[in-house]
Amino acid sequence: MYENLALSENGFLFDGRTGATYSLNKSGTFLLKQLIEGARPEALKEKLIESFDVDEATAARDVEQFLFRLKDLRVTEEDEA
Amino acid sequence: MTKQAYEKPTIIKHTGGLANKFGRGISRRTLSRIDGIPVTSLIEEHGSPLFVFSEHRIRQRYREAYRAFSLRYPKVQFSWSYKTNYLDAICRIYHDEGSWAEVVSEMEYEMARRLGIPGDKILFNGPYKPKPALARALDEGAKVHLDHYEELYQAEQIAKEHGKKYPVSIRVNMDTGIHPRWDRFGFNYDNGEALDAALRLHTGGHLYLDGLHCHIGTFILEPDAYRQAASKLAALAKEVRNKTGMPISYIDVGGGFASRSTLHEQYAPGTDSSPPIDDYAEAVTSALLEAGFGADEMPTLMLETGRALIDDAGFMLTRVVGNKRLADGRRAMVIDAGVNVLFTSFWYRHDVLPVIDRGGMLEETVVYGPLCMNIDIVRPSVHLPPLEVDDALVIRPVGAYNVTQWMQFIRLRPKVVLIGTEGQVDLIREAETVDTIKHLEKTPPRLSARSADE
Amino acid sequence: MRPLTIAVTGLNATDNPAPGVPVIRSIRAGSPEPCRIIGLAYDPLDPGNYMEGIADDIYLMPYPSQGAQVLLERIAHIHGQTPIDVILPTLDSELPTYLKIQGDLRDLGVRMFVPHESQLRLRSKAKFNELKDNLGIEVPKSITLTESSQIPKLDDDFRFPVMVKGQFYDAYIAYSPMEVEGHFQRIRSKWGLPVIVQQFITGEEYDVVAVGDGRGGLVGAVPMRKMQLTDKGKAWGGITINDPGLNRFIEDAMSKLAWQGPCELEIMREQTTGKHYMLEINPRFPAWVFLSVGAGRNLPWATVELALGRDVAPMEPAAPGVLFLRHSFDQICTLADYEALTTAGELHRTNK
Ligand SMILES: Cc1ncc(COP(=O)(O)O)c(C=O)c1O
Repeated sequence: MYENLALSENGFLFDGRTGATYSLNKSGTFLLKQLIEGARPEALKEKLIESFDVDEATAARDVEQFLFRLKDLRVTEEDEA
Repeated sequence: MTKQAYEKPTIIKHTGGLANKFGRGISRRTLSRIDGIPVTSLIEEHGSPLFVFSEHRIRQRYREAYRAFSLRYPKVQFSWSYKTNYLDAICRIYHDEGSWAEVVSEMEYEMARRLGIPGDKILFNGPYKPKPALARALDEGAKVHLDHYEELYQAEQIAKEHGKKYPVSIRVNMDTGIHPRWDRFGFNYDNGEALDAALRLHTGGHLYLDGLHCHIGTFILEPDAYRQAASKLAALAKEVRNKTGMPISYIDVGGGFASRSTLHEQYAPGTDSSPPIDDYAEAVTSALLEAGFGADEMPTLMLETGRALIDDAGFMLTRVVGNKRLADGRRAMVIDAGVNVLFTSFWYRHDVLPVIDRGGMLEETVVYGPLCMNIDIVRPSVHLPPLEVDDALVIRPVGAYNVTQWMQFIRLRPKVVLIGTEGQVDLIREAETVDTIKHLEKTPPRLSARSADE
Repeated sequence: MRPLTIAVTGLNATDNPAPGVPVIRSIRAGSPEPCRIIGLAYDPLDPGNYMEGIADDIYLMPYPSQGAQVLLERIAHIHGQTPIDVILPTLDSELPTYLKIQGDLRDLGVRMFVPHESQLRLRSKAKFNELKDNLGIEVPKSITLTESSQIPKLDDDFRFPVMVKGQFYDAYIAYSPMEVEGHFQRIRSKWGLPVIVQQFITGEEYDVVAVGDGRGGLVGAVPMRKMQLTDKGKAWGGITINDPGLNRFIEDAMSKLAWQGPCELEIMREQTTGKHYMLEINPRFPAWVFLSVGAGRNLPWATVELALGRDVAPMEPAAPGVLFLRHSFDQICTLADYEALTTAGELHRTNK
C-alpha cells in the first residue's frame, strides 16, 4: 500500500498518483509515515501518545480528523482492485 | 524517551501560487498585550467578545494630529466627530484634549450637551435637522452647517420668529479629483450654487455667513484632494468677502483622513499605504496660506477628523469557538465576534492576530463570526497558525464606527473597556442583557394572557 | 574577496514573463567578474528558479501585500546569510514597498537604483494629463469620466474614435458617444470610476527601454518596434530602430521627468503629423530587456553600476536592425529543488 506516496523527513509529500504535493507538520509527518510503514489506522492513537506529549482524548480526536482529511485529499485512497 | 512537543497533525495541499505562504519569509505575528495589559487577563475578567480602547493611543494620535496642523497654521480647532464613536468616556477624552463636538443629529447634539459641551462648541452637520433641533441649536449658538435651501429658509424663519440675526455656515461639495464625489450633501461649488447660497443668506437679513464647511468623503487616500478642497473653500470665502464686505471666521475641511486600516481591495496594508497625517496637514494648510487672506482675516481652520484619530486605539478581543474544514478543503474557524459588532469587516481587512502561536504551519483560513447568517465573515482569508477552541485573538484596528454602527442582531452587544494611561482598566459600557432590549417593548394584554406552553 | 552580489526579483517566466530572468542574463553578460546572483521569487513554481546559469541562490519572498516591514525582515534575513550589494526590483506591484524600505536597505549596505515615489505617481492613468500640463510631455488628450452625463459633451473636445480605458485595466475603442456609453458602463461595473477617455491616435507604436540618471540625463535607451505579438499584445519579437526624432522625444521626456533608474516607455508617432505621444511609462525593465544587450547597450548592468555609485557614460543610440525572437522551452526540474523551495523557502545551487 501507498507506493505512490513519497514523504520526506521534513514533511514534503508527493503523491505520485495524483501529482499533488503537500506540506505536513511534525505530527502529521509522523502519522503518515506510520501508515506508509504499515501501521493500522486503529494503532495510530497509541503511537502518537508514545511519541508526543498529548493526552488520549486529544490524540483520539486529532487522529480521527487527520485520517478523514487524508482520505478527503485522496492521499490514502485505496486503489481499485 | 522524552516526548516531542505536540501540535495538531496537519496536511496542507500546495495550490498554485499559494505554497509560497509556507515559506520561511512569512512573519508570524501575535499580539499578547495591549498597553502592557495581557489580553488573556482582560478576557478572563470581562469575557469575550470584548471591545478594548486605549486612552494612551487616543491621546497620542490626537496630539500628533493637532501638532501636524498647528505647527503649520496659526488657528486650528478639532471637533470630535461623534458618529465615529460616541461612548461618553471616549468623547470626554477628546474634549479633555481640547476638541469641540461635531454632531449630525439631534441625538448626537443632546449627547454633547449632556457632556457639558456648550452650544457654541458644537458643529451641527447633516441633511436633516428637525425644526425644534435647529431652533435650539441656533439659539444656543451652535455652528449650524446648512445642507440645502429648505434648511436655509427654515433657519431664516426661526430667526424671524426669534427676532434675532444668527450666524450660520454652509456645507459645500465640489470636485476634488476623487471618487465617489459626495455631491448629495451641501451646495455645489463648481456650478456656483454655493456662492449663490452664501449671498442669498446675506440678502435675507436674518442670517449671516460665519463659516464654510465641506466633508469630501471618508478614508480619502489622496492628500491632494484636501488641497483642492481647502483652496476652493478659500476662494469662495474671498469671493463672499468681496461681494458682501464680510469676512468669514472659519473654514472647516471636515474629516475623512484615512486611518491605518486596509480596504479589502487595497493591495498593500494600510500601515504602508495610508498617508501620514502630516501629508494631509501640509496639503490643507499650504492651500490656506497660499490663498492670501489678510493677516487679521485668517479664518480658523476647523477639522472633524474621526477614523484617523481613533481607529487604531480600538481592539476587539475574541475567542475561537470552533475549527472547521469547508467542503472544498479550505480551513475555517468560527469566533465569538461577528459582523454584528465588527460592522467595518465589510469594508476593511482587519488584522486578526492570535494571542499565542504554538508553532505549526500557517494555513489560509476563513474567519467566520458566530451569527447564523451567511454574510457573517470577519476575514475571507488570513494566514493563521493552528488554534484551539478558546484560544484568544485580537482584531484591529476597530476603533472607528464599530461601537456606533454595531447591530443588536441575534446576539447581545458586549462590554467595552478602556485602558487608562496609568494601565487601569475601566468598564465604560456594560454588556447588554435581554432586558436592555425588551424593556422598551409593550405586549398588548390580549396577547400576554396566554403563555406559550398552553 | 566575495563576489559582487546582486538580488533580482520577478522570476516567473510564463507566457507573460516577468523581467527577472532577462535582467539576470544581462547582468551576467555585462559584469567583467563573475558575480553572485540571488533570485527573489514569489512562488516555488517560478520557472526562473530552476534555470541553469541564472540564479545561484533562490529565496522565496513574502508578497508585497504583506507590507514593508515583512519585506524588510525577509531581506535582512537573506542579507545575513548572503550579503547583498544591490537589489533590482523588476515588478510594478512591488516597487512601492521597496521604496518604503529604501532607507533601511541603505543602512544595511544594500543599494537600489529606482524611480522616486513622486515619479511612480505620474503613471496613474487618471493623472496622465499632468505630464503635459506640468512637464510639457506630449500625451494624447484625455478626460476622466465620473458620470455618463459627461459623454454627450465629448463631441466638442475629441475627434472620434477615442479610447475608453479603466483606471488600471481594460481599453476599448469607441467610434461614437453611444459606444463610449456602453464601454463606460462596462468598465465602471468592473473596475469602478473614473473611466478615462483618450484621443485615439493613428500611427506607429514603439516600445523603449531606457535608464535615466535621476538628474535629467539619459544613460541609454533602446527603442524597438514590435514584430510579433502575443494574444495579450505583448512583444514576442521585435527589432531595434534608430529614428532621430524619436530619440529626441525620449531624451526630452526623460530629462523633463528627471527619471531615475529603468523604465519602459510606450510611444506613439502620429501618422499625419509625425508628432510623438507618450502612451505609458512603466517604472521597470520590460521583459525584452535582453535586446539592449544584443544592441550593445547593456542597460541592466548600467543600472547595477549606477546603484553602486559608479559613473556611467551616456550611451549613443544603438544601431538599428538587431532582432529578437522569444521562444519558450520545457525544462526538466528535480522534485528535490521544488521540495527545498516549498519547505525551506530557499534553494542554493552553488553549494551543490
Ligand atoms: C460631516 C462629517 N464630518 C466628519 C466625519 C468624520 O469622518 P472620518 O471618520 O472619515 O474622519 C463625517 C463622517 O462621515 C462626516 O459626515
